[in-house]
Amino acid sequence: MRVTVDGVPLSVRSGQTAAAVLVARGQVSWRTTRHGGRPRGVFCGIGVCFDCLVRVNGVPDVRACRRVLVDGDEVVTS
Amino acid sequence: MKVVVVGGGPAGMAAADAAVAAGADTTVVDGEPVLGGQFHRGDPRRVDPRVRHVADATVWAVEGTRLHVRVGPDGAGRRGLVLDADAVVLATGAHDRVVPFPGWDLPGVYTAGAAQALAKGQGVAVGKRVVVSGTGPFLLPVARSLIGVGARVLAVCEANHLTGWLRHPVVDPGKLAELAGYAAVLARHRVPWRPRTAVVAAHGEDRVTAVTLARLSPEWTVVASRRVEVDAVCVTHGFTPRLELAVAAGCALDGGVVRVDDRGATSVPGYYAAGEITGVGGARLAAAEGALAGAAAAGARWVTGELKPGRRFGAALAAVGSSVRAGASRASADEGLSVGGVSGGLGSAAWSDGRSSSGAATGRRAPADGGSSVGGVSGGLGSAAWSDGRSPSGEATGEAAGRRAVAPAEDRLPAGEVAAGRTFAGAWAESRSSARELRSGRRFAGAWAGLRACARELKPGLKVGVAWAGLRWSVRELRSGRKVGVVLAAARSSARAVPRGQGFAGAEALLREVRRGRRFAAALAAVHPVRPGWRTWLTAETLVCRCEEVPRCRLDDLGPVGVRTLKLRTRVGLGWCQGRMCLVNAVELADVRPDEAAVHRRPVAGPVRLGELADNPEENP
Repeated sequence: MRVTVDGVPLSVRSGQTAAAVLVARGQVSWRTTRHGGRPRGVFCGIGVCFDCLVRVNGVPDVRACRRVLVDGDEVVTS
Repeated sequence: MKVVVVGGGPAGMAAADAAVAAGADTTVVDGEPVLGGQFHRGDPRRVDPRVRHVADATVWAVEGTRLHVRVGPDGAGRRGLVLDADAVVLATGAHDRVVPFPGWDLPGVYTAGAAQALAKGQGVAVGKRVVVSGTGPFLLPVARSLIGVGARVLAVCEANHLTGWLRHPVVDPGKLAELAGYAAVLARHRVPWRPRTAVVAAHGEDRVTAVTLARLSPEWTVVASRRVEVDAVCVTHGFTPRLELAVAAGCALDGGVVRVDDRGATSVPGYYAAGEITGVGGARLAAAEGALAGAAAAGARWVTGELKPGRRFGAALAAVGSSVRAGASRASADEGLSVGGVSGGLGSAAWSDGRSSSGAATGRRAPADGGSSVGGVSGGLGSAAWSDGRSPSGEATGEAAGRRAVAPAEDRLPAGEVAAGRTFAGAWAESRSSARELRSGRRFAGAWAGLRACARELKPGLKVGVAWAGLRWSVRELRSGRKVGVVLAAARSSARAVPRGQGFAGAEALLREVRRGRRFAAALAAVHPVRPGWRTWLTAETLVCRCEEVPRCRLDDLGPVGVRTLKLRTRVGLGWCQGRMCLVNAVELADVRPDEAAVHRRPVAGPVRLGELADNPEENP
């Protein structure tokens, strides 16, 4: 499957979540907090904490740990 | 009877299987794409195919037993769904509780559950040099999973001391074997396991680069500490049950979990609960609770009624015999259905012995109540329906066949009082004759299932002989071309029918399992609590609420407040996660009036986008 992460084309296995793809690439954070501007990535890993939000196909605030990627997905971190 | 099970982990799956086996129209609504829950992550499970599985679903509101659901992956166009149920089984599970410490908001600090989900579900290691810290047995499988995906685990730190287990001895061979397995993996990879030790701070600029490992007093205050270089740390301080739906439904809580009776009934009629939301005790307890709650929700008498253990064998056989007769005697009138009845009856006794045995007993007490009292008998129809799914008699529904089976069960039950040996002989003769009535393709499956049931009930010495005789006989009955196929089909379907670990246990066996599991859960809570010294780890600037970035100092000097005031005055718990991560900690830090439900009160129980509220949901499709 082909997806893009911040415009970079990647090939991913079926069933992989956006968070898994990001962590596997060595990325530990991909957004900043509203008040302190602090970096955030995965924390709870099962959809509870909302730390790992990304934009997928233009839809903002998608939990990367819950979002199983499908062919053609465009993931944008912030 | 419509039963909706919320949650597809061990408890929810067992509940769905039990409910559908009892004849209920059963739906399981789960947040993941595949069943299994967090426990079976990376190893998807299946339930009875008659259960409707709504995957990727979020139950975001409940009104009575009406559930509002969003279905589909977030960010890919979810659809609305409204489900009306006669009974709801909540099996929503739990997530890691993590107490805050300086630096816990740095990237590279993960909950143990996150490390586990990424390792087991995705094959990804959260780091190369990892410390696992917290309290409870969950530390061990997480360490093993990390090792399994190539991480170097520098230490497993258990904040409590295990001498506590001496006061709560575990005599459960399964649990001890599991423990030994983890110990062996840690030893093989030279991973040190350190009691009374914890990560009390994480260091780094934009990601964690080191942690402070502290030796703790029994109350968790720091005695001594050292710094360790890491690139990831995984923490868990027990579990927070996911109670928002239970609270929204009005279920009473007790000790931070849903109050239930032995069969999972909550304080609200129509609502049942099972698994970690009734007390954290692991997957086996959850599955046993789920089976009881699912059956009770479906009104199965085998769980709502009483059955003395001594009667089980006889009752099981009586059920076999009578259901066989019920089916066979109608063979000429309606072959399709009665065949279903025969094999259904056989299967029921065999596949879910407790269900069928109590089904038969129930038949005696309340023979007229076909619909629900056949719970037991139709319970086994799994076998018939599943192996016959594609056959011409596939439309023989569980309930119909079950009804046929139940009435004669009443007459047959006295057989249960006969000495076991003779009863068996009788049942044996009956199953032979009944098998002749069946079309050959079915014979073996039915006979096989019956035999297994009987064999389970017999003393070990007899089993081999009986099984062997049964095999020889049933093989003789079949035309040779079909033998292998049928054997395989029977084996496959019976393996699917019964959730692992639940076996052929009946209601009493499940209740025993639940009682044993709850003793373990109580011991777990007593030995691995979060102790008050954690509050000394925080500095004034340590974030308590990650979403709203609320530091601890904002909680100081609030005076006595309620949970609502705490939230409004400090913004703790008002962010993205709605207090799921922080609120249990915040109420321990501030001077908050105890109110168990308030910590979990989220009328919108899952995230919903504003635009989605404008949709017209599909109702009860």
